[in-house]
Amino acid sequence: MRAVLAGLSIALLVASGMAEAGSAAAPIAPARDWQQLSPSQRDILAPLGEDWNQLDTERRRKWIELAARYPSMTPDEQSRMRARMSYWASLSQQERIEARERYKRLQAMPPDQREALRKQWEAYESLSPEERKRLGTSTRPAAKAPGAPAATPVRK
Amino acid sequence: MKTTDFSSAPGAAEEARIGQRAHAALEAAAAALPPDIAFRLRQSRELALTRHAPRRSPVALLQLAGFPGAGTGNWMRDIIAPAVGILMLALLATAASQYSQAENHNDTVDIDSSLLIDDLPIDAYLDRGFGAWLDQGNP
Repeated sequence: MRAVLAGLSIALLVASGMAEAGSAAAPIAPARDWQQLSPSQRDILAPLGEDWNQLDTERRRKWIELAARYPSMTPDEQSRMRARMSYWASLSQQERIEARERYKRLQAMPPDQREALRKQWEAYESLSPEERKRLGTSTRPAAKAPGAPAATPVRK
Repeated sequence: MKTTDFSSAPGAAEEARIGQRAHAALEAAAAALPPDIAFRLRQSRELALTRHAPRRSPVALLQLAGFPGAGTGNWMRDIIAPAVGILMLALLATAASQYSQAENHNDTVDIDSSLLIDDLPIDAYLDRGFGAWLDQGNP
């Protein structure tokens, strides 16, 4: 009996430890409706205001956590984030997954190559539309998430 | 061929002799049976044996379900200990799943945060042609 209780106690300790470890680094934010957000959260997330209540719980939590990081960003980063928020939110789940995967792949590049990416992107944009199409730009999925706000036209 | 010794009982010698003669006659007749009749007899025997197979008791079912000590009279060892083991495994599996989900959530928030403030526009990460162009070593 003692061995059983000891085993159960160990399992409970391990299970609670794992659960706490998963949430300790960044506590998962509650998914509130727009009116329940604080004024500062509404200010930061203003680009998403019209469509906020149509976002699912998981996406609201992510945006609330992103908003929590906003004050620690530089002014340039804050400006970029606000400019990109509604476009990012307008993408379909599949598009966001693909973008994250490509981001991770490009992040794995050596630092010198990584620094050159901005110029390479500009050079790529200067290619003719036919050339970019040949390289696969036309394969970008066109489906949009239901209820998503209007997006900036995708560059092709 | 196996024979039975009936000689130990009183007056059994006559019975044994009759038995041996009957046995020999049956053996001879059985050997002369047509194959189809022998086949049907074998089927009937197997069917009868199947019908008389012992049914599994609840204890045997418990043992099959993973309670090897079931039926030994010790409920602590038979039922409670394996059940606690299963409960511990379920708890650990649930905790591992929650941990993994929280990790994925945090990873996704990290990447989204970086993407939203990155030097490159989001389109650069959506454009498959750009990736292909980089893979080709341009410019």
